[in-house]
Amino acid sequence: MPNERDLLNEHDLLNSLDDEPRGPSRVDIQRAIADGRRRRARRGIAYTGAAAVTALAVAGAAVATGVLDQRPTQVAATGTAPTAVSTPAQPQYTIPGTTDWSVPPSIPPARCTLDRLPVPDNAPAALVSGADPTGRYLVGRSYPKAGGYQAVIWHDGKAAKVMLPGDLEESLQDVNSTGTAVGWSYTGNGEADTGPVPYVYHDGKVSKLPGVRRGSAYAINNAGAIAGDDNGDAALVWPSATAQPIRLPLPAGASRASANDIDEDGTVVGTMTVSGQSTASASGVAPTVPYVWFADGTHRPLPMPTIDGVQAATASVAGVHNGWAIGVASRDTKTRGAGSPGDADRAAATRAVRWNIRNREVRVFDDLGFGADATNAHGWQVGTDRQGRAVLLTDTAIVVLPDLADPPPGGLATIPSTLSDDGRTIAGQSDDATGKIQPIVWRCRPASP
Amino acid sequence: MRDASEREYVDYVTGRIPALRRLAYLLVGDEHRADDLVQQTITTLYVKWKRARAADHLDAYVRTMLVRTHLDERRLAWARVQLFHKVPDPDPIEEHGIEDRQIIRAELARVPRRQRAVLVLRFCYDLPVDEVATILGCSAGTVKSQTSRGLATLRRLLDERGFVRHPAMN
Repeated sequence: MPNERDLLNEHDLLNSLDDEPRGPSRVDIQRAIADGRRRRARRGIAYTGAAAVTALAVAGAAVATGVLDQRPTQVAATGTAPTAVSTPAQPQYTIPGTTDWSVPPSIPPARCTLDRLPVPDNAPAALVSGADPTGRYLVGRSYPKAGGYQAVIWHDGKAAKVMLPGDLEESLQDVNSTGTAVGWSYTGNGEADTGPVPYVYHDGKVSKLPGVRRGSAYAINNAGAIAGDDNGDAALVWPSATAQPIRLPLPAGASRASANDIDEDGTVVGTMTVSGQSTASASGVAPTVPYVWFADGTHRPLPMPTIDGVQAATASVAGVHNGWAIGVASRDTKTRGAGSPGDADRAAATRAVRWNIRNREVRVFDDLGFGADATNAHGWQVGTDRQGRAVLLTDTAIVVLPDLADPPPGGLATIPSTLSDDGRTIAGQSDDATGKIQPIVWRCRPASP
Repeated sequence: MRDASEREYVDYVTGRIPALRRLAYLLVGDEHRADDLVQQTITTLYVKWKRARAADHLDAYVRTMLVRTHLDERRLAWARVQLFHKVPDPDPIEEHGIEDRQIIRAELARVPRRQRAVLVLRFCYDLPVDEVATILGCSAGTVKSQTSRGLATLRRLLDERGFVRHPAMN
């Protein structure tokens, strides 16, 4: 043991370390509240109640009877199953928007029923994080009884474990219509050495993606191109699971970028951080710019939306499908710890945004509380509304997705994370009566004639 | 929960952020990860706020939460959800202006995590052994042995660096 004299020395020595970090605080109370709400909802609190299986509620009068009438020309298309649905094993890869490609039937669903998905080893909890555009393949992870995480793939409702290397944390993020899934798993021992490794899974086989030691894969399109990052400052695209990754270019002034999703035609969306504006400024956090990289090599920022008459200061994009990109924007990058008046309004200043990346049209959706979780070929969206309920937002209607059990007050017990191109299959998670997260698939159909 | 309880949370956290950043900075030795750690701690605090606000010593409760979050291995993976965009590192320390404090901080960051947590809580925060034991969820004996090992490690690192203690300290 150290003697008393030494203790006094060390006390003085260490006691001199009382300084705060020199940089500005990037702690964000409103973000803590928003994240906390989600976590609370996901973990849930035990509550009782019978399962509401087909609860149908429609917010607003928009739906009522007008749904079919507003899209009469598309009724005829219902009988024709989209190519991708009928041949999931080897889908024809056609770029959305080109002549051979047709948008699947688009009668907006009016009601959805839910089914619980099976979980390998009867793990107590699991969730869905990604799906192919048909909704026949789903990926996610379970939370085994023994602790930790287990990557899972579902095909036509059947669950299978995917054994990714590493036992720290893992997740499959996306899957395409051939059943090829991508994700990441943490490996390493000790703080300095631990990091994610990007993996691809196909037909029972797991392979590490080439070209990086660390990194993550977030999305894969039907052509097999994969978007991800190197766990550093670079956004990456792997043209295939075996090809070396391409480092996506950054415009002058950008310090880092992330690639979050890849469209069927190879268009990548992500978020770029502007350097130089982040140092010790009063605003606290570096503003981010929503960004798109086209398959022809050009790239550009997406336009900033206007929120309450003011151009957004920061925005990010999370997903893209058939040229529709979804994300969030905020008026303010402010995050400093000081509790200035208006602190509580800050979360409310964040809005769900959808871009049409072909014509640069940008639209703010006030009905969604956080930003959509997924979009499809029609630009329909699934997400969480301002009451915390899971919803499907089509061009004409808002359909509330039923919960597995009576939700606790405050909502967010049910979170959708995928939306098929035909709008008929949605997957995600919903808390059961004991507050455990369960993987869910919703089947949706148009209103009965 | 946009109600009185949330208002209370915001008020409390707002007031505590400087103190929490200081503690986090001592524990992790890196500004970015320190803010990360504080962010995670106040997120957990929000989730548990109804229970936490009833705690006898809320500050101590939150401090414990922060230290335990720091020592939780799983946090490393959780933190991959990059809460912050990295800002450029601060200017390098100029050779002639090296402060003892910066040297000590740098070497402290190299002490193993649990030992470092013990040193920080005992010597920077003047907490008694039993309280540190409560925070870390271990026995008083373990705190003592970790103290001893941590000090030995720190001294060795400082010696290797050629750190000269002020006469008053020797």
